Formats: sequence, C-alpha cells, structure tokens
Amino acid sequence: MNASQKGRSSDLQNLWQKLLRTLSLTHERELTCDEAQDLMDSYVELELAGENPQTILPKVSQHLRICPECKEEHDALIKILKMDED
Amino acid sequence: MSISRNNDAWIEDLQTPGPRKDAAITDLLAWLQKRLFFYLRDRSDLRSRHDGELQDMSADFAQESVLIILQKMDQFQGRSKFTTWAAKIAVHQALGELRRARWRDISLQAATQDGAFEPDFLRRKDVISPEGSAIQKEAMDVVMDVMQNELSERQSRALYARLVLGEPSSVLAEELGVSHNTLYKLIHDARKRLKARLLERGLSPEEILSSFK
Repeated sequence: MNASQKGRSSDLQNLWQKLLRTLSLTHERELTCDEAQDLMDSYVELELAGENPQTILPKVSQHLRICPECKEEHDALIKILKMDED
Repeated sequence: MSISRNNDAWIEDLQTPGPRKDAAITDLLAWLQKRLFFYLRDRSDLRSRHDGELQDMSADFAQESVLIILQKMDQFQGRSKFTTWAAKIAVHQALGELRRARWRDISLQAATQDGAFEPDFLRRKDVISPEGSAIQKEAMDVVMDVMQNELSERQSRALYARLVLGEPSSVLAEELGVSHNTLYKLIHDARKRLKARLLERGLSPEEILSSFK
C-alpha cells in the first residue's frame, strides 16, 4: 500500500469511526438545533456559574455531543462571555 | 458605555424610539463588536487575517446581529441576561457566515475534483484491513445495506453531505429546499434507522467502536 492509499484508508477509517460515534450518541428523542439554540443562553450561564448544566438540561448536552455546529457556537459563546470575567 | 443595564432597562431602552434607543443600540453594537473581534482573532483559521480586516468583519457581524436582535426582541423571555441572549444571536450569525464562506472555498476546490456523491462511500476494502475483526465487517455490511436500500436518496445524500463533506447545515437545507429543523429530522431518522438495524443484529455501535482498540 503506497502513502496515498494509506492516507485514504486512514481517512475512511476515521469516517467509519465518526459514523459509529454518531450512532452511539443517537437517541430516539433529540432536540433539534433550533430547540437547543433556544436554551443555549440558559445553558452557558449555568456553566459559567459553576452549575452542572448536564444534569439540569441533559438534552442540550446530548445535542451538543452530536451536533458540531451547535457545539462550535456553544464554545464560542463561552469564550465571549468569559471575556467579562477576565 | 452603559453596559450595566439590567434586562428590563435593555428592553425598555431598545423599544423606546429616540435618543435612549440610539444609545442602547450604540452600546450593544460596541459590546458585541469588541467580543466578536477578540473571538475572531483567536480562531486558528483566521490567523492570517490582519487586525483591520478582523475589525471590519466583527463590525459587519455586530451590525447584522443587532438588526436580528431588534427583530427578535419579543422572543426574549428573560431566562438569561439580555447580553447573553444577544451574544448567542451574534455568535450564531457570525459563525453561520464563516461556515458559508469556508464552504464556498471548499466547494469551489471540490468542483475541480471528483466530489460526486458515493452511496458506498465507506467501501469495506478501504476501511477494514484484512485482519479487521468480524464484527466490523458485519457492521459495515449492515450500514451499507441500509444506506443503499432503506434510506431515501435524500437521506443518504444529507448524511453524506454532513458527515463526509462537512457541508454547513444552513447551506444543505437551502439546497434541499427544507427548513433547518426538517433537515435535522431527516438526518436524525437516518441515524435512528442505521442504529436500529445494527442493534437488531446484536451489534451496538459502542461495541463496534471498542473493537478498533
């Protein structure tokens, strides 16, 4: 197997594992992005206050594990709001 | 800058036409722009941009966001600080724009390559080595069978676009002519179907993942 084939095989392996991880996190009932976004401000405030939002808003936590876009926005929001603390 | 307003003051000021509203908009714009600028400057994919360019980008994002915030004022329910709610809208707006811009670059590059949809994109011979476990081979057969025979073409394409190509959901929803929520449900149904078929065969995704170790 040459370097290019090895790279392609590795990409596909990563993809296969990514799909399996996504399936392992799939639940019968999930929040949509809009529903998760609706609760995102409350969620990050709980997080910044040192509370455990995963217990209080578990469905949002679940959505953030499966949706990379909402996770990216969550992380950005935390960064932005932490500027007020620094 | 009077950013120390409480929620009631923000709402009242932003809904009272005249100097109070103008001052509140100016404060909100400045607050958002400053934070967006520092956020953009911290992103690894924007490291090559000059501060002036990032200032312009953050100013544009902040202005677009404030327009959206003013339109959505009646949706603010006071469950968080007003500024947290406003920042959430600004982040959604800014990151949505960045994703669309990045996708335009990627899709332009892909147009010159073979970027066609491949229903059998996880071809077993490429993914599973000869010494790969039996469980992985069986799981791959199930997944490929569902992808090709049970999911609608729209579901397979949506799953492929999100998982393989990383196409932004807003762009994909537009292409498919559906709402963002409908797209999420389309892919969620596909994921549920794939997971159910694996479990019917006694294959849990967690177990298959652990076989890689």
